[in-house]
Amino acid sequence: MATTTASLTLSSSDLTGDALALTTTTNLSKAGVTTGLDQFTGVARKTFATAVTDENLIASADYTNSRAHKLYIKNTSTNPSEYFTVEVGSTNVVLGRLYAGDFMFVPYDGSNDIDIDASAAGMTIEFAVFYEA
Amino acid sequence: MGRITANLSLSSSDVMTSPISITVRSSAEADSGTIIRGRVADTTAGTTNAGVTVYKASDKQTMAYVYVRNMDEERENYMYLYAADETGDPTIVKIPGSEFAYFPVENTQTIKAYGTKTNQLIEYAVFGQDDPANILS
Repeated sequence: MATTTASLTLSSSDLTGDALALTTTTNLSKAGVTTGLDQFTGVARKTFATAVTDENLIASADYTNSRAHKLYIKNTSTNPSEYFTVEVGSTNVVLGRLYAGDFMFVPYDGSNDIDIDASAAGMTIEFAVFYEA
Repeated sequence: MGRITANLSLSSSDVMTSPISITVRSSAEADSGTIIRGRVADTTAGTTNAGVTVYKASDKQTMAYVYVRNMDEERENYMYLYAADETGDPTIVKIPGSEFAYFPVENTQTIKAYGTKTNQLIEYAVFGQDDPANILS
């Protein structure tokens, strides 16, 4: 059994009167059990020569449905005006925008495609999936 | 104007033959936010249920940064996040017990939550630049 740990810290010294520091940690487990996820796609990068719309990034067909996969995506751009729009499912429900340097980390049950829009040419997205069969 | 910084670390010594360690950091302007822990009464999505509103559309300008943790210790007791303003209330993230999600939300979306069982405990935080033209209630 593999053990993979995810830790997230949200902090700010000037958003509230007292400094904010929220830290949360979890071991990445298979669906419904405490057994650790044992498969990993590796970290991949994809660069788009042009701005794109509804570009498939994660294909649900590649992952078993109703499992507890985990998805990491990052916009590697350093231009603050450039963003990726992350969309979920066949109707491309807009989740949100990843601006330059922003990332997201979410559980992914394998039932929906994840598509992206790139707001400009030459943008690079970084992504990885921890998954189970 | 304040700033919110997010640090994510993903590490494993044995998911691959070589250890992996992914560490990323992002920082964004934010002038407002909330951190809330509460119970989710609902076990289904839909407009007839009150649901717990994690993010209300137009509360922030452009977008919001959202963190949600399912506080239930049983892995099979999921927390479902859905887009309440979309047709059919599609689930966008399904969080197993003891796990969390961190993601951006488009300011036009309303994100609500329901659980596998009634009165599941949820912890969530929302940060961004406030839209003063809109209030939460």
